[in-house]
Amino acid sequence: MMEIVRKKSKFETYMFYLGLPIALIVFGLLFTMPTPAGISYSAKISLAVFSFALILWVTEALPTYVTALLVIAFLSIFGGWTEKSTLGVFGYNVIWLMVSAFIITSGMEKSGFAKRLALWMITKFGKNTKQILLSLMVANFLIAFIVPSTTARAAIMLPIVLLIGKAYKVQEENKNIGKLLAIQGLQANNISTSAILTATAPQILAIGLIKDMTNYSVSWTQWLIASTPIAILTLAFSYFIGLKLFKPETQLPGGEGINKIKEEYKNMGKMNIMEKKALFIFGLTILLWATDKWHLALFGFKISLVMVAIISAILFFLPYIGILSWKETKIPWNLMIFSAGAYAAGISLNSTGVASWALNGIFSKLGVENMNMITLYAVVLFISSFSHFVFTSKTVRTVIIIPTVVTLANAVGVNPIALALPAAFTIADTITLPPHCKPNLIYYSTGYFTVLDQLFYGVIVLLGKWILMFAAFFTWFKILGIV
Amino acid sequence: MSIKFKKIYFVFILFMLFIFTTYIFAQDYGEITSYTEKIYPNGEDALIISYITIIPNNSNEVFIPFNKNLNLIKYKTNSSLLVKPELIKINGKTIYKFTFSEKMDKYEIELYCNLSGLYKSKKAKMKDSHPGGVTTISYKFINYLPVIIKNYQIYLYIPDKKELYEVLSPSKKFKIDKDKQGKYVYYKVSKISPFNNVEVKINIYTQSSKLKIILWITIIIVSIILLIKRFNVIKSYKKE
Repeated sequence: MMEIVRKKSKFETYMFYLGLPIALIVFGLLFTMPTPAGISYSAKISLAVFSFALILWVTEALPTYVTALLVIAFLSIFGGWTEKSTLGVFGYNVIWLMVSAFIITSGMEKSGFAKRLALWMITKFGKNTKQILLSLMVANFLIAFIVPSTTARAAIMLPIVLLIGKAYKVQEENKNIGKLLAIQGLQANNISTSAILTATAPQILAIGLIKDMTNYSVSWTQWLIASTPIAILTLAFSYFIGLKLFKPETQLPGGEGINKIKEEYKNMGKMNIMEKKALFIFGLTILLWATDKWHLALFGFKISLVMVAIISAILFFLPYIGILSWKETKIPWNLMIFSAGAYAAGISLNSTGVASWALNGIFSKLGVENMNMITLYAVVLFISSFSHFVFTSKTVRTVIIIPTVVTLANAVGVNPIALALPAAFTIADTITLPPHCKPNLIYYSTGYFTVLDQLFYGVIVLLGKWILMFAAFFTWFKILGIV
Repeated sequence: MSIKFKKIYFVFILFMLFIFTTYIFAQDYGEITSYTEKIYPNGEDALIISYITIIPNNSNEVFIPFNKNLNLIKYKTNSSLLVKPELIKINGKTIYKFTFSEKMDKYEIELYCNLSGLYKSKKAKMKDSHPGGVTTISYKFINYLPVIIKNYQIYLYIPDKKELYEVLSPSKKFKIDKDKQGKYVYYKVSKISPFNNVEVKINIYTQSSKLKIILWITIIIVSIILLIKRFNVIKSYKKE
């Protein structure tokens, strides 16, 4: 992706100007302060580096890849994390998945199939920009039923988003549309996940913990019935808020009439051999992702999500089968480095214990044991949802939050299900910053939005969801008997 | 009886004998229901205070595993002893035997011991990039008894003017906290099986004040240079 040079607002200009000095001062303060009682020195350094990087990413005072490299260096040298672990992040499956996803996208783009798919979507569903955005959201929701991985769904949607973005010339002109395509994509991915129990493994872990601690079982259908209305309303809120925050510059791609798009689609004629190859490889990839539960039974071995993507990338490069050469492949290495640095910063917070220390501290400072049920519910949901700021792993967040909430409920004498199950519905609320989950990184790699765009939009949507869940306490959850 | 049935019957008898013997054998040593160790720095040595709750055997005897490197300074019990505590060897391992005069359901014993060299600086094994001056402290508690020790807890205190750099072992479920005596690492296990051990290994560190000064000087200089160099961004925005 080329670097987007765009005119900054006054606020952004001052943030750019002051960002690096502020980041350095915050780093210095955290680095030199006495280590708090509940954490180690390494944890303190990890927090200092994360805070430093966060300020730089939000203010864009340095290019994101430079900040990421600083994270890697600072964590290793100052002792926030070992050098081996920090550098090892580049070998994590999410990085390889992204590399493979971009190879797949390059292949789809070169073949012309992705253009055909994008034009088909625009002509079929896109009388205007709003309809295209809505149809992408719906597509994200529907594939959550059949592809049980947030990362795989992001990888599937990425080529489509990029090609629609290209049709709209989002890099050059219609930047707001680019932001909406990408941010709504990641939001729809995460929010849809909360509606379907099996859409992400930490949710299954959550109900397992609830069962172990309270003897209360939650079935797939019960989860769907309870959570889906919240998810759909949140998606709707995200859609409308997004249109207000980033008003689309045009209603039609490239400023052309819809008839021109239809004509262009018609002129593509029948699929050529390259498109058929691309379709075959992409179709095979989706099939393998959707059927990962049955790999062992079908093939005798399991093929992980990232290995499916690598196989797909291999197929695109193979002679006679594939259609791509290395020179034709467009991988944004600056964003791969950003991803590695961001992930290292986030994971070091988990592994050094800062994240759980912060959460426990927040609960005890708030004095939750003296609150009435309604206030307690609101506070627990808020913390549960926004704790993703310090926990970059949904799994780690789940194993800390759910038992903490159940224990807290028992301690204050309220029904633990009334707190733990709604808290479980917020596990997938990781929509505010790129390092928070792999789909965020994948969509961020489009280059269509800044960290601040995602943060601002994401916080508003999560606040909206929090209000919806609070309202559900008096309505939907009461009807279902959860509270 | 058929030969096959005789074999099965013989194995069954042996198995029951083994279980019974083990039960009797275990009963001979009583039962440690809780064992808490608090390890305080004392220069390069350690002062270890152990709080033990123990159910005696039929002879009012209790047995406590004892590391041969430890030196018992004093002890306290909640009941009077028949004889002074004896250091005995069982299977080559050192055990302290306490014999009480009065029969009670359980006894509480406090042991005050010195362990030489525990807090002596041992350079930490660290590869690649890392801060200098990190040292390692490692303490291992071994259950020399042929019975389970229940509810083992350990508090390993950090020396004054040192920082806890990281906890190497255990990898999970430990807690870091602070009380009047200082900062400590706390770890608890529900049981230690016979002849098994619990190890707590930490790295400690002293952050150099020279480094802090250099860091702040660097931050101030870099910030000032940047604010000057980038001022044109503000100026050109205002011009527009």
